[in-house]
Amino acid sequence: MFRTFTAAVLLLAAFHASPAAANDTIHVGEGPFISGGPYFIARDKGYFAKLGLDVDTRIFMDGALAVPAMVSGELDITLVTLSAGLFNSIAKGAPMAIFLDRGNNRTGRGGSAINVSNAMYAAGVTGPADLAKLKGKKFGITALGSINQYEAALALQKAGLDPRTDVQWISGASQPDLVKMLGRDLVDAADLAWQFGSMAQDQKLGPRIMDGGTVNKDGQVAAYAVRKDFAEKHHDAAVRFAMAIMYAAREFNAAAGAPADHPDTVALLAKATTQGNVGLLTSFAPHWTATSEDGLPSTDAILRMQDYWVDYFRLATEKVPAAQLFDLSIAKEARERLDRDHPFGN
Amino acid sequence: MTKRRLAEIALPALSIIGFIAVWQIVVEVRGIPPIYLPAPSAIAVALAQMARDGSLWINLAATISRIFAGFAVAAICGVALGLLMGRSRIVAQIADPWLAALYPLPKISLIPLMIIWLGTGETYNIVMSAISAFFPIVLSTYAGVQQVDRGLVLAARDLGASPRQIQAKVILPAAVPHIFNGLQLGMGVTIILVVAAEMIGGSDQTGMGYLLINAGQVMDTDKVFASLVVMAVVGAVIIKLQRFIDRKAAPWAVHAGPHQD
Amino acid sequence: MLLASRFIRSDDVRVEMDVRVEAVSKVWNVAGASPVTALDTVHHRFPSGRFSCLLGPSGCGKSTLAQIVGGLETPSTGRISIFEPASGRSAPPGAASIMMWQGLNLFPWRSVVDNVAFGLEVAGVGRAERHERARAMLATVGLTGFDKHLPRQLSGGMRQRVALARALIMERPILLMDEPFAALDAQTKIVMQEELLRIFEASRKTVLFVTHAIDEAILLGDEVVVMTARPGRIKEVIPIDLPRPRSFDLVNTKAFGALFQRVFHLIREEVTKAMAKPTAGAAA
Repeated sequence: MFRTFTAAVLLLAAFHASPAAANDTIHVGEGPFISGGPYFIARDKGYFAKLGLDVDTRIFMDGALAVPAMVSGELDITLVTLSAGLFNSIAKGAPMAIFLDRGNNRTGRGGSAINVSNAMYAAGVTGPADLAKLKGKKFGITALGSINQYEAALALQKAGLDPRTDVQWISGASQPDLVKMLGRDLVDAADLAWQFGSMAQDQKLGPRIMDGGTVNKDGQVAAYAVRKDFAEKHHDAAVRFAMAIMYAAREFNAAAGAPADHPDTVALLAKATTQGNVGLLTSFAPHWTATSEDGLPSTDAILRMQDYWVDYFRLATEKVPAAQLFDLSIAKEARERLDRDHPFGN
Repeated sequence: MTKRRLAEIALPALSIIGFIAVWQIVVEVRGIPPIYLPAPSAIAVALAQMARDGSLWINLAATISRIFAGFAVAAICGVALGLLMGRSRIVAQIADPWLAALYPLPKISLIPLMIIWLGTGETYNIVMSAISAFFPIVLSTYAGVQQVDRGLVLAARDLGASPRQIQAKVILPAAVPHIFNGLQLGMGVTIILVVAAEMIGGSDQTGMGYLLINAGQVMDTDKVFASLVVMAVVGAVIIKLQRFIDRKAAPWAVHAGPHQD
Repeated sequence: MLLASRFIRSDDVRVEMDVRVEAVSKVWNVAGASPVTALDTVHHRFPSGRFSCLLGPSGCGKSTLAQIVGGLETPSTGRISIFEPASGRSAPPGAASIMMWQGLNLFPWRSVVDNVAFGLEVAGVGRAERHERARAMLATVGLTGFDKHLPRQLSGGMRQRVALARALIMERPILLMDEPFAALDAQTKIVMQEELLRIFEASRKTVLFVTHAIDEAILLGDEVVVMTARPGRIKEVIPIDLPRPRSFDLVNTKAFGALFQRVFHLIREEVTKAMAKPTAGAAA
């Protein structure tokens, strides 16, 4: 009788002890794009859980739609593509800051391409130097001020054109639609994510003529942003998020370089981004964009992009100072803790 | 100008001015970031900029021309079909199920189909404009014809009018209040659909809808609001103008004027 | 103010028309119910120049009969003959008659003068001429100066005059009137009745006047055709030999009173019968 009583007390004590291990919930905005690979790895391999984080994922087909969801408070952390729209939002008071890398071109694994229509290719647009022949033609992009338009504009400038006036920008179509439009000559060229560029080429809808990353060499493609009040109140949770991402980034970059050696990782990535089509995913490796393991986005590249949109293209109205745009303390702290505590064993 | 007439103009104007003033004050005092709600002053600045660089005029002209072109097509076809349905039971029986099925269909959902068939040029814009206005116009015309007082038709017949004369001199004027109602509904829907069509088929590069979607893509909320304000004003002006024309053309249909008895 | 002499144009050749109703019946087919017999085998002759009043309870078919005579309804059986007694020349129903409606049926979107001129307009008369003739007719019924008014801007009595002018301008030999004064107040009704008497004096058309008011029928008519409750048949025809020209003073005379009693007794049982029946879809 006494033993049962002790056992009961011990059990109760054990249950009371559990609250100390309660998880923090983070509402995260992501997209079905390979650039978000580290996130999916961290989620599906339990790295978030290991650090005591419950992630509630909301998937956005169009990254631009994630920003309003963050502004309204639905998301704590979200992917953001670097665009004029992002700079405008923050300049106009969207309470968020960029805090973590989520895709850059620094290692030559740029995830975008420029394709042209078959007609244009036949007319001699076969490489970066030939882009001048696109004067007066239609250039397809997903949105105005997007990273796609940025790369395309830089490429056109390099070839001697004024991207503000020398081409007609066709925007608003999704990437799959742009591929179709390319095939039907509704656009003469397009800047697409690598996988869609490959698709267009393979389906004979328009060949790829250059890697977008070559004109935007140190460029930043996307990042993670955090809501300012979340970063203040749940700073530790944000740091742990960054830790998990940065740890997963290592695996991600490895798998990008040698997909055959990482079949499990590739399988889980395919499930999240290409509807399970492993073959498609491996076909355009390593052009999955890369995430740096120190978690730091290239602030110079981002500020340069902002200048471009505000001063040159006039799509953004005012410049956000770096202090307001970035919060790099989280990534730095995350790197320190990873190196010091090795929470994942290595 | 009578006191009452003065009040009729002054009160709405005052309410609008008051609303704008309160808006400005609230945004400033409470420090609302522009991403949530731009201040009227910022909207005015954006509007001035659009006027200065010409983008306002070009796009406004494009949208208004599409509205009227499409509306004219719809008005002519709609009234003609409505009158025909009123006259011929066979036509009415054939047309009725089609109208009943297609009317409730949100015309916005037809946009992708129209783009496939027509591309995104002027034809597409005018067709979208006409399609949306057509249904309320034809249905209102038909209803108007059906509710024509049979006594008036009999009286006209008794006075020697031929069937064609009855159509033109009795049925059409008697149906006018309903027809005008349909035309007003049609105009309202047309304005909405033209802007929507411009937003979705934006590659044609002109129109207020095109302005809206572009400003929206880069989160230029000042410009978005400015475009919305312009469309609201344009819409209000068009509708008021239409009501004025209706009143002049058919004073018996609108309730105004003295009543002795 | 009525200038009745204006009715007689200097070159007037008054056309006289007899109306013969032969075995006319009218059956309405009502959806979802058994057919309704509005009129059942009506025979009557309306000689030219006679003012006949059709009197009967609601639903007795008197309005239907007037419409059939006017060519606006077709009889189920029987026929209407309209012919000039002197020459035997016949006219189809409709062309020789004009109806003044119970609801007046003025065109609300047309001005007074355009309402009156409507019949001339559809006949192809030019604008200047038909407006001139319309104004003249309006003056005759005492409505000068309201040319541009819309019907809704006029009082009930004024609208009556417009409807009357619109009918009379057509100069057709047969005048059909379907309870035209039923909606008027008592004073206006008296005025209109006296005007009608004067118009009839001057023009001596063949008039069919439908009414449910006994005193009105006796005051106005040369005969009162009393109809039964539905199905409508002619119950009896009472000749009214009160002298013309008449005025409203007649109502207080002994002769009037005697006629009233006679007609009243005839109609009383029909009214009771009519009240017991449900209304049909068609007008009485």
